[in-house]
Formats: sequence, C-alpha cells, structure tokens
Amino acid sequence: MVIMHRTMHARLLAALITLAATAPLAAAGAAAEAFAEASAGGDLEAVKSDLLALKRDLVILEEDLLFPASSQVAVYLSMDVGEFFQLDSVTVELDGDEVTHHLYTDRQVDALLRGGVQRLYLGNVNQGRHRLTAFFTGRGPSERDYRRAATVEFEKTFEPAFIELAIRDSESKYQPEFSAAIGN
Amino acid sequence: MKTFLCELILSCLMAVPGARPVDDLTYGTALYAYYQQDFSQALLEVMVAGERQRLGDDPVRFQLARGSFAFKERLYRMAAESFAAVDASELDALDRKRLAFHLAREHYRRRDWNALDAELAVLDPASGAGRHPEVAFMQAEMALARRDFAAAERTLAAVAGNDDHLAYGLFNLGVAYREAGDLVAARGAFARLGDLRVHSEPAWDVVQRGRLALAVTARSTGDPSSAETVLGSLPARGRYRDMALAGFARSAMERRDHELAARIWLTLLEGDGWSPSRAAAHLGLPMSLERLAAPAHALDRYREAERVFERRLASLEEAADRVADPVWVEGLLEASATASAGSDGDRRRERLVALDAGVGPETWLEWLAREDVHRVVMEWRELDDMARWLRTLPDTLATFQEITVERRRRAARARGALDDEALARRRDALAAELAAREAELESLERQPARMDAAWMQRLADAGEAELLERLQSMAAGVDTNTSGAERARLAARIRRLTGMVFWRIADDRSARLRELTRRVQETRRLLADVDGRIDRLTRAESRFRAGVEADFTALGSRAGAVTGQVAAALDARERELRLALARHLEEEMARTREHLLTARIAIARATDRLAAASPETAP
Repeated sequence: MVIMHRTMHARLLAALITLAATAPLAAAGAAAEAFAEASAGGDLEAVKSDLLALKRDLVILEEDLLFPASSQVAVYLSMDVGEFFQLDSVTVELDGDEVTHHLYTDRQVDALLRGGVQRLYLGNVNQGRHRLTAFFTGRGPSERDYRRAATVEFEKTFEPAFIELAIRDSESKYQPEFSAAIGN
Repeated sequence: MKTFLCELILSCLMAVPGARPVDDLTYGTALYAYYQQDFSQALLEVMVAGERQRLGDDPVRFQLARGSFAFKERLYRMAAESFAAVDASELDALDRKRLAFHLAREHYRRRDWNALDAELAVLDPASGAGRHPEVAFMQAEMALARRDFAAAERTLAAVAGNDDHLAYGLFNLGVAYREAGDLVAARGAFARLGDLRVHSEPAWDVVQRGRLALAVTARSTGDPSSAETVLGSLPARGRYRDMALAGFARSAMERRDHELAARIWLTLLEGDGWSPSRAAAHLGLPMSLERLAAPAHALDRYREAERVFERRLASLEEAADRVADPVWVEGLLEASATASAGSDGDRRRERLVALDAGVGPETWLEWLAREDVHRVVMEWRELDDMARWLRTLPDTLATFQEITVERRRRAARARGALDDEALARRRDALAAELAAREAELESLERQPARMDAAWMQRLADAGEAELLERLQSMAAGVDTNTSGAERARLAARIRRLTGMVFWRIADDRSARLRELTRRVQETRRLLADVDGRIDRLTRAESRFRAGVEADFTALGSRAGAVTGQVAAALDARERELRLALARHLEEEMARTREHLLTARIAIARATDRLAAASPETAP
C-alpha cells in the first residue's frame, strides 16, 4: 500500500507539473518559432505568384478601360510631420462637385506620417481647364477644430493629370500648411 | 525613429515643394499599403509600377521594395529574385545596407548562419543600422545557434526600449539557457522579458509566457515565493489565468498548504469549458482533500473526476470520427475564420459549440492555435480568400469585355469618320493649295510692277484678266492681218488700253497683295481646322482603343488555371488539417486515458483506505 501510495503521489505530481509548468514553455517556443516566419508551402507560393500576376494585369486593364490617359485625373495625398494638425477627413471637389470624401483611421494617418502616399481619387475629366478644391478637417494647434481648403486649377491634356495634396507643418508659423499642386 | 527605420528597410519619401513626379507618388502608394500591413496590396502597387514603367530615376528602391514586400507575403522565391536582380555595383552605401538587411532576413529564415553573418557584417553592429532591433534579434539568434550565450546577452543588452523583437529575443535566450541547464541565467532573461512594456498583442503574449516561464524556473530553482509573486502579476483574465492558478495550487501543495491548494483547485473547477489546468484540478482537488484528512470528500471528487474523464474520452472519440469528414472540417475552418474580438468572438464560439459541444470551443481553439495547425489554417484562409476573389472574376471580366466592345465600337466610329469625310485627301489638297499661294505671294512681293501680261495676270481681277486676254488676242490679230500705218495705229491703241489696265493694277497693287495675303491666311485656317479634326478623331480612336487589345480568352484561361491551383491547394490543406487534428485528438485521448487511469487507481486506493479505517461504513 505504501508503494502504491508513493507511485500514486508521483503520478499525480507528474500530471500537475506537466500541465502547469511545461505547457507555457512549449507554447511560447512555438510562438518564437512562428516569429521566424515558417516557410509557406511551395504550392501556395506558386499560386500566390500567379494570382498576383493576374491581379496586376487586371489592374492595368481596368485603369486603361475605365480611366484612359486622355481623361484620367488622379489625386494623391501626402503628409509630413503632422505636429500641428491631426487629420480626420478630406473632401475633394472637382469643378464644384464633390467627387470623394475620406475619413481616416489612426492606422491610415500613421501610414501617411511615415511617408506613405494615398491615392485619394481616380476619375475622368474632359480635356480643358478644371478646378480642384480639397477640404481638410481635423484638429489643429491647441486641439482646436480645424478646417482648411487648398485649390488648384489645371489644364487637362491628352496626358494623365496627377495632383498632389500635401499637408505640412510650418514651423515658422506654428501652423499646418495645405497645398495642392500638379505633378508630372 | 521614423527616419531610422525607413533608412534601413526602405527609402523614405521626403517632402518637397510642389508636386512630386508620378514615380514618387506611385512609390508612396506602395508604402501607404505597406505601413498598414497590407503587404499584398503594396506588392501589387510595385508590380503595376514596374509594368507601367513608372520607376523613375531610382528603380533600385522599387526593386528593394518588391523584394521586401514579397518576403513579407512569404513569396520567398520572388523576394530572392528581386534582390538578385539588384545590380550591386549601382548601389550607394545606404542601399547596400538596405539590401544586406533584406538578405539577412532571408538567411535568418533559412537558418543559414554563415550567410547571415556576412550580411550582418555589412550592417556594422556599431552603426545605427546595426543597432536596429530586428538586426539585434537576428544577431542574438545567430549567437544562440552557435551556443555563444555571452554574445547573445551582449547584443540584446544593447537593444533599448520595449521593442517586440527584444521580447522574442529574450524569450528564446531564456529557453536556450533553460535547455542548457543554466536556470539562474534563464531566470534573468525571463525576468527582463517580464518587465518589458510592449505594445503589440503577439509580443504581449510572449511577455505573459515569459512570466509563466519565469515562475516555473523560479520554482525549479527552489524559490516558490518568487514564483507566486510572478504568477500574481499575470492578468486575472484571459488564457493565462488557468495556468497561473494551476501554478499557484501546485506551489501551495509543495509548501503543504493544502487548504489553499484546495481552494485554488475549486476556483479553477468553477469555470466553464475544458483546459489542461482544469483537468489537473479534477485530480489536484481530491489530492489536496486527502491531505486535509477528508477521505470521503476526496473519494467523491475522485469519482466525479472519473466521470468527467469518461465523458471527455467519449467526446474525443466522437470528434475523432468527425474530423474524418471533409465537410465538417470545412465548417470548422469557416467557424475559426470568424474574428475573435467582440460580438464576432461570441459568434465564433456559438458556431464551434454547434459543431461540437462535447469537446468544447476552448479545446478546438487551442488546437487551431497550435503551430502545426495554425500554419495550415492561415494558409487555408489565404487560399479561401483567393478562391472567393476568383469566383467574382468571371463577372468582372464580362464587364470589362462589354466595355471593351463599346470602346472598339467608338474607336471604329472615329476611324470611320476619318475615312468617310476623306479628311486626309482634303487636307493634302488644301496643303498643296496653300503652298502654291504662299509661293505666289512671296514672288509678287519681291517683284517690281512690270507691264507684261504674266505679271498683270497674277494680280488682275476676273474682268481685267479677260480684258488683258482680249487685248493680247487683238494684238496678235493686228500683227497678222494689218500692215503699215494701220498696224502702227492699232498697235498703239492696244498698248494704250493695256497701259490703262497696267496702271490700274499697279496703283492698286498693295490692296491686291493684301487680298492675296487674306486668302492665304484663310487657306491656313481651313487647313488648321482639318488638322484639328483629324487629330481629335485620331486621339479619340486611340483613346477608345486603349486597353481593348486585351485577350480575354487568355485572361479567362489564366484565371481558370489559378482557380484549379487554388482548389487543389485548399484540398491539400484540408487533408493536412484533418491529419493534424486527428493527431492532437489522439494525444488528448492518451492524456485523458492516463488521467482516467490515475483517477481509478486513486478511487481504488481511497476506497481501500476508507474501508480500512471503518469497515462497516465502507461503500
């Protein structure tokens, strides 16, 4: 009976130690291994490559069909520093008509602050003179509500038109600066 | 920090006055997707830019970005090809470091330590790039692989702050020390890890695991009070709660505080669902009760544990039959794809309960989170997303084809207008006419007034021209039909009349030249109009023809081929998943059988002891 009692005790302790102690180590070991980016299956890599190539060709086809160069206008938004302005939303008007409105998540604002550029609008206009106005809404210096606009006039030619909206800090004025300019 | 990061991994876009060129904007859109962790979109942007030849004056940044995004997307072949395509001789010092960083990641992934060493040397550990947390992590991992604990310690000690990479590095250092039997050093690594204040959820998970590992190591080194302190720092909720409680109870039993242990085991048993810690509690509670001299209660609890383990075993056996069913496994995968947060988390739980209430959602979720299963599940989800997108593709292609047909029609109409209006021929005739008039005008402006028929005819109006012709004809008649004085008289008269016409033309020469200039300008305008119309129609034709050259049959075939590949890969993942789940079920059944056996032995022993203590009351 004593031998059996000791065996029983050892078995129970082993069960408890196994369950309570080593489980986290094994799981955490797996997490670290996962961080090392386990290799994806070869078939998955081949499928993804083919799919991406197909998507690339469709994106180009879609742009050619829906936004041909002779009528294409693309509007981009960039941001630098962002100390004096926290962006909430942007509204874009083309020749007086609202063509797009975008509300920003924290992640999107962060991507802009880190150097990303958002393609805010892609559309078509006739060749000739046009006027684009962007309204920026957010929080300005001292956490006050802030709404500013930037306007640009441009001549649409047979080539695609690229317009860059930019938000920058003016350290001399302690104010944000908003601009709209034609790219090439 | 922003500059530091982007300098090493990808080149930054710097603010400039005015708008940037389109290649800068395109590169920026790729970064925008990348910084939002949408690596697939980022890669697509770069691939489209390459195809569009919008790489500008700095194509290297696109090549490095393509490789980096492909690596993040686990497209390792594409990443390697992108990096191999970079012409090293064209790189400046910073781009060389960027390339070294990306190659180091690839060598680390393949655990090619020598190649990793060579690339890390390019990064120079003393430089800013060399102190990047991910670089330090790779250096520490390389040192651990070479069993150089001191180097790993030094490298991680130099990483400041609470970076996620530091969390993973410290955990792996602790595990390596523990495996090497140096529990004191392992405690040091886990203790530093436990103090980190990381921000991402996965890194926070590693910190929690580090704390558990610290508690286990502290107990192993004979320091249960430290272990309890650490366990007390774990969150009162979440996946580590049960583990922490089980650790507390175990520690209490070691200190022979069976009353506390029993209370903790009871707390664990109050919860819902199944976990390894609760399985331990079913045995731990009666064991503690035995030590508290409550043998009858202990026996009841052992019997209850026996029933629980029997039921669990039956549920596991039923589940083992289910995982052989592909439809059921597909349902499990779809349920697991439901987001885990908020109301979606409740819905996922409900779906898992509906699939298998016996084994329980906690167990299924735990198995789905295991490394071997998790990888397959993630790949399955990725493939499932692809399959969904591919299912919408025929409609998209049909729409594109309709647009193409319409564009072709418009292009043909523009071409037809060019042909029908014979614009090219009209333009050639006008151009010839204009050239002749311009030459005539230039010649008349150069020549002085002369009383000869050729000069006068060029400036004469219709009446004058006719008169001049008649006078010329009359002069010829006089020469032929008359003689002597009559000829002289008539010839003089004809000269007088011609002289009158000449003087009229000569006097009016400037006005007549202006009229000729006006006609030339009119012809020029006409020609410009025709040119404009031809240009508009040609541009319209080319505009409508843009994109219509697409071969929809070829696109459809490609989509069909990829759909087939995706379906085959999905089948393979489902098969793999069934096998992995069956393996985990088998292991769980083995553990449960062991617990059941333990419970039954304990019941027999407790029954014997009770019978020995009071034979008449024994059951």
